[in-house]
Amino acid sequence: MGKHVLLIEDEPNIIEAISFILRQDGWKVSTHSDGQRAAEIAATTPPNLIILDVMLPGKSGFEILRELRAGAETKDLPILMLSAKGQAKDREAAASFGANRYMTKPFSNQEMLEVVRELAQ
Amino acid sequence: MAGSLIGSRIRERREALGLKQSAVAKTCGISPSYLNLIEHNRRGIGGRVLQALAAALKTDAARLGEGGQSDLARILRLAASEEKPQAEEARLEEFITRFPGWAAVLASLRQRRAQLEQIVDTLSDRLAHDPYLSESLHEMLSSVTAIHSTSGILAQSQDMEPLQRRRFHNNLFDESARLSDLSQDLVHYFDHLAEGEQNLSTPQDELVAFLGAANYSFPTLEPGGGETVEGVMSRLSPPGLSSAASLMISVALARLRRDAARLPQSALAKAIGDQPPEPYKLAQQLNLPLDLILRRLTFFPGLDRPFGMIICDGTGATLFRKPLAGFHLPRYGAGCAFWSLYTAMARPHMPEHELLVLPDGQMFEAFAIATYDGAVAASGLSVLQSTMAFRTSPGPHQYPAREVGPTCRICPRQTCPARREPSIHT
Repeated sequence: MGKHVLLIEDEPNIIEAISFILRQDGWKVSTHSDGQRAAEIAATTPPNLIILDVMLPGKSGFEILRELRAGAETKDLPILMLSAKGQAKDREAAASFGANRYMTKPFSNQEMLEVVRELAQ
Repeated sequence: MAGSLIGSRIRERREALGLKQSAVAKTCGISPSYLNLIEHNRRGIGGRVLQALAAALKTDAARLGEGGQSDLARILRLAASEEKPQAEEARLEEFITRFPGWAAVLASLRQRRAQLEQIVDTLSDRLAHDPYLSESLHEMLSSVTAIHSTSGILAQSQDMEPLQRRRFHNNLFDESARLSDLSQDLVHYFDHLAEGEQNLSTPQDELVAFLGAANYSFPTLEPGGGETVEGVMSRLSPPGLSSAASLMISVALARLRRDAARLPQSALAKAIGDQPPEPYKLAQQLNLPLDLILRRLTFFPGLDRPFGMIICDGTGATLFRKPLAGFHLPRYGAGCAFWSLYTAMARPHMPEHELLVLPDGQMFEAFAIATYDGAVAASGLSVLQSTMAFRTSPGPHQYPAREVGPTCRICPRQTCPARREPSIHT
């Protein structure tokens, strides 16, 4: 599997930190902040893995997740969802819409790396 | 009507009026020795003798009888009914008489507990539904995530470009400033929360605060008052009023002005005279709709028993509320399904007049009517609005009494058929 991750997140400082640790680990990281076009971007140049935030401007992460799962190019991509909400119903929603993993903020860099490596296998 | 301390109250009242026992007994057609037994709480009393005594003592029987349910006794009965260990309710009056200090302490603790439960309810309502709180927590978690991740990188990466290191330091600085602002906002928010009704997080709250600050009195909007709704708003609007609240206030004041044009305060005052206002009679006498009378009475200054009010639409959503001490109007969601406000919607244009008895024994006289406003939407539908005005009740009444609650969440009536969700009183 290649090492291209698409990070869909709107918090600039989180984007910078995650990008840094993944690049250190050998990943090519592209980022996108706006919910509206996220699924479209992912379909144009499909990455090997997507990290998707639940709360995005323009469109909710769950909505994007459904679009990704409905798209031919993206339906099988491993997707890690990030959320500041740890509630069970969000976790269940993520699972039912087809997220591979769900991670709550704040997380440690080590956790993030381990999950990404595991999903990439 | 046999409150066992009723005799003591009769004696107090007689002595306050400077009347002799024998004279009062004679007026009432009973023997002085019988009155003496009554006054020492050694004979029960009711019916005609009570009526006669009340007349002789220039008070009403209800007041003498109601006094038997003194506030203290009422609260202690309530406390007993709420607790598992069975208190000796039959000896309540004896307890109050022999240990007045302890009785007062117990009653005060019970009231304090009820007050705290209400705060808990407000808080849990907020945690579950308040968009501001939810948004703030989300932002805080985002900020904490950025700090946690960035500081982790800085602590563990030995060989980093100085420029990159500097950027991460700047990010940390920015995020810590954001976190500090957020926490100050939250402290400010919770400070306001401690002030109860003062916490103006919804436009409805701002409307209530605006009207309350003016004591629900807007004389310049009366006919000939010479001020426009816009004038009143620019004069009285507090700084920082939200645009939604501003719109709601202007709608409320515009209706008030229309109502005043139909029934000026001076005309209402004349119709009321020096008696407590009776909405049904006023509606008949003035030949005006009951909902108009109720709204005008709610904004009428100086009543001994002022009116609280709640208006909702056909979905039960609150459009207007004027709080009244003792009657809990929920800030979010609906009230009790048995309030006249909601039952009136089953019979539009038919007035309801009931005694609402709350779980703590407090009684409120409620008047309600649901009306179609007549305006028809393109869909052919007209809007139903229900209006309920309520005031404290001075005592027993002729009209039906109905057991109601505040809202399910804080209502102790566990077996109520209208229960929507479990109560925190478990």
